[in-house]
Amino acid sequence: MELALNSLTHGLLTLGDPMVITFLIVGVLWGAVCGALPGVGSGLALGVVLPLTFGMDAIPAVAFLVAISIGVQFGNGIPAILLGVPGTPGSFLTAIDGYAMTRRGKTGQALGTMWFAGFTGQLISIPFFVLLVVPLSSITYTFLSPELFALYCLGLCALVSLTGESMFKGLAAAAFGVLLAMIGPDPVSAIARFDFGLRELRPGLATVPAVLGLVTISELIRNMRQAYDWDDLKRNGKSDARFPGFRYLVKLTRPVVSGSLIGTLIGAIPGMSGTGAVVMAYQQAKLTSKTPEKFGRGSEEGIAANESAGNASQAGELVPTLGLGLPASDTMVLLLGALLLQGFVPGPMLLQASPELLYATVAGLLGASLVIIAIGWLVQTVLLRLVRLDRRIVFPLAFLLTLIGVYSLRRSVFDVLVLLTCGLVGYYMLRYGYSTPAAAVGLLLGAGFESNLRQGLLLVNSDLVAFVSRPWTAAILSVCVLLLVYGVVSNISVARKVRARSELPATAEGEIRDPQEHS
Amino acid sequence: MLLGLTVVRLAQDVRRGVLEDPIGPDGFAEVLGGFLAVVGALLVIRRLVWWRRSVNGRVYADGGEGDEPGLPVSAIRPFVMLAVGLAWALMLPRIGFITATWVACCAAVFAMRTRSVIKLVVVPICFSLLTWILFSRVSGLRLPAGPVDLFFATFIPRLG
Repeated sequence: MELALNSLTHGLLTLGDPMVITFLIVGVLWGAVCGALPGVGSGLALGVVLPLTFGMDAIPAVAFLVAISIGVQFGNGIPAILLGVPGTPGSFLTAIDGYAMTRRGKTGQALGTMWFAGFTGQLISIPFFVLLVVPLSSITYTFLSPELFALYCLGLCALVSLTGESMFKGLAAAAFGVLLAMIGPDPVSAIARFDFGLRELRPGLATVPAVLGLVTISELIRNMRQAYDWDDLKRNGKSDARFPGFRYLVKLTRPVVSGSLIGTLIGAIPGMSGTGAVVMAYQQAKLTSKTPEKFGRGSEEGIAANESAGNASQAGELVPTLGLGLPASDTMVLLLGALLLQGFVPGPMLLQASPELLYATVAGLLGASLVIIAIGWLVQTVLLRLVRLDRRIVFPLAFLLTLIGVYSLRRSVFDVLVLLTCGLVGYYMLRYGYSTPAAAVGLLLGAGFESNLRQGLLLVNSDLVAFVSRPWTAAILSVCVLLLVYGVVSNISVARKVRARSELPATAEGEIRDPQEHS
Repeated sequence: MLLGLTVVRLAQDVRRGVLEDPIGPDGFAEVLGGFLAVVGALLVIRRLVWWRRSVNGRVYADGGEGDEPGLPVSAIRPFVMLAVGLAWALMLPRIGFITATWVACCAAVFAMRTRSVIKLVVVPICFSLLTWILFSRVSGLRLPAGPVDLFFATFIPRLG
């Protein structure tokens, strides 16, 4: 409790630094701009600026990146409401109800709901984040290699939420990421592995360029397969942005509060994601609403629950990311990549070794919320114009900016080659249903996974039973098994539904196309 | 599947060191490669089974992100962009940051079927100058300098 109170206090004190405040404002604005541009999500928003954080101090850098992820979540409701295009998967429910409200000329009400739910969700989630993350990091302080290995297992098994439609493909992608992490010196004996005689690969594959290539470049070049402007989609909505009034917003307190709590708690579970949190919050709001028939047809309560849960889940996802060193989403993967740049070692001991990260994170969450309260409404009205920006310009510029950022890390052409090569691999992974975030998580966790397994076996004199029967190890590995079983069951269920749907008479809308046919 | 088998084969060439553990530097790689090979084989078998069951030879989409319907697709453009990126990295030490970035930006925007003079010329110039100021002057990072970079360096002092 003392550390939790210290975290809140230090977080508030950190906000007194003018440099931190500046980066918070810039981060929220940059994140909101990226979130408002359809197709540009948090992966790109963070990936493009990640190399820039190399020259920054740790605390402003972490606060900056946290503010960006919050800004993206805030901004991605705008194309959802205005164009019916969700900026991220988590805002697809906002797209359904928000776009329906836009078609009825109620854009201002939808945007006002989004603004109110956004910062309220953030503010409610912050104390929960502190109360959850501090005990977690204290527990991991007593862990030895077998327990740490189990935690890395949990992180890799929790990938079921990032694997997409096919768990087999997702696990293959994660295995590929772990394989990339094996390039370079062996963690126990320092024997060189898989460097193919290349001097540049002897210390190992550069992690940041590889992660950015898999997550960011792949998405960018996939988007650039088609050169069109948003006007070509003929999705025009009204853009009346009048503020709806505080009396209107106060009526939405119930779905906002319940959505915030659900978003924080579900987002904190490794294996669950922000998307899972918003779906649960939406369903819960519908069940307790006096007007459930409006859900899906333009319900402000639906938008409120969705947006508050989505924003609150950002803090929730930070709990396993910082407390256990296990990234819960592609956004958190890039955050850990940024911590690598700053010299921190991602893993269960992260917070114990560097408690200032907790203060920076609290400052980022709190400061970003305050920025949204202060200027969020004004930013929304400006971003309404930005949504129309020509994507044929935006994507090439984002692509080059990422290249420049990676080159600036070590002024190495080889890093750019790694970035482009991983981008090409990631592009094909995206095309054929292999999860690039899963591969990125495998890359980040792979080294720790292998080294703790082998060192743990040395610790117990190669006795496997003694290894897995340690209390915390057994408990965490049991959770891993449950997660895998859950993933298998849900994948089978989804596959059955897809098969049942495809056996219906084919229609122009219902025909499923093989992505290979596009090549 | 092929990747997994390749990894297993390459792992056999990894030599063991003095400090031995039960798994060794090759054991983990062999297990991982075997896992990839098995999963790959399962996916191949599943694909073949679906192909046999499919109507008119069409197979269900198994994940994968498709394209926006009704709009033209270029399968080559992603490779063009990667080539632009590679060319930029190779040109950088030779002709300097601003020129290389401007040329690469022009090429990338042109590849996106943009033909407006402002978007093809003005936007890339502004982009290359702004990024140079951001990385070189604000962040203090040293970037390769060409004749154009040196020209601007005399007017824009370091801001960091």
